[in-house]
Amino acid sequence: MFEEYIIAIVSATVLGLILRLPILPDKPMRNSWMISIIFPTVILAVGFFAIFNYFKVYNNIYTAIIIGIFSAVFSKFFLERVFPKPEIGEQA
Amino acid sequence: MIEETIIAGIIIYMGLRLFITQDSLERMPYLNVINFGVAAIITLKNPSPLGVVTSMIYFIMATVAANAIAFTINKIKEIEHGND
Amino acid sequence: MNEIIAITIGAILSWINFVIIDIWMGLPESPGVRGAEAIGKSIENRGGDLGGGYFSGNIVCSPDASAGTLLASCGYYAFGSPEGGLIAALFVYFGNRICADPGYAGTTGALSATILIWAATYIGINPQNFIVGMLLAALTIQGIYHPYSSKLIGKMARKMNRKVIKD
Repeated sequence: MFEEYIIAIVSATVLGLILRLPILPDKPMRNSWMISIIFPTVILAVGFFAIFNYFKVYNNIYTAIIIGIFSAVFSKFFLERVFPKPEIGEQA
Repeated sequence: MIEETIIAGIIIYMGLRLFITQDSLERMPYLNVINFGVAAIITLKNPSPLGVVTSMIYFIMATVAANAIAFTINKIKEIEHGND
Repeated sequence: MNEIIAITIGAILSWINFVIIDIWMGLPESPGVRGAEAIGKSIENRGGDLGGGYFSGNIVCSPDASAGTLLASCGYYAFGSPEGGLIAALFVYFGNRICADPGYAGTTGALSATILIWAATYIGINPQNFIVGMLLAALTIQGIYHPYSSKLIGKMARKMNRKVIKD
């Protein structure tokens, strides 16, 4: 059961490295808005795969690989458009 | 059974404190505790994926609402003090 | 295990989880959004500590480790396995981005709470106790007497080297 999660994480990391996402955000990590592999790409991959894992029919390694690829692509290109980061001094 | 009693007791106590407090900024943390309580009850009474998703979406929307309320109270205080 | 003892242990573990992670992630340092600044100043005016006030304000205005702990325990309870905690981490991350927060505190809180609950099931504590325990922990910080709880948070924040950042 855990292997598929590892495959999703590995696939997201590999595609993140290919798309040239940084591995760690810049320091101090807790205040940075930079999108990196550790955060949020792996979180998205594991979270989405956990959702799909609940529906038993999507429970195989192909879904894991596809979700890893999707989360890397989503965080690189679409995350900033869907959830824009606020400019300095702006309120949510 | 005992968990629901505890949660109901906390929500009622926070509701009474909300009723008594006059300062609107002091009320915000009490409101936050009530949001926690309602999110907890939604999942405890519906132990299913639908219950959890409802609970998560409720809590996040309640936090957004509390954010807007606190921001507006702050703005009104600024406007009032700017006119003094 | 006796229910009262289990709920107490769940409350203590949830309190430690969310307070330590929130202080470590810098919640007492500065208000993330303007609503948090208003709540922090209001607590300071009533005799509390400004860092603790910003802590409470940040909890009200943005999902942080307290939301992460609560939703992770709800997810674990409903799904019956740690997957629920992972799904909660995903939702808390989206909620953080909506509230203009980078998202580290909530997601880290949710993941560490999932690990804690998973370890606690081996000594007989189930996720319901963590749900109620998290509510009790939030009550102690947000609902009893703000000046005392903010002073406690302020003291812990200074010990962990997270002082208020003056601009």
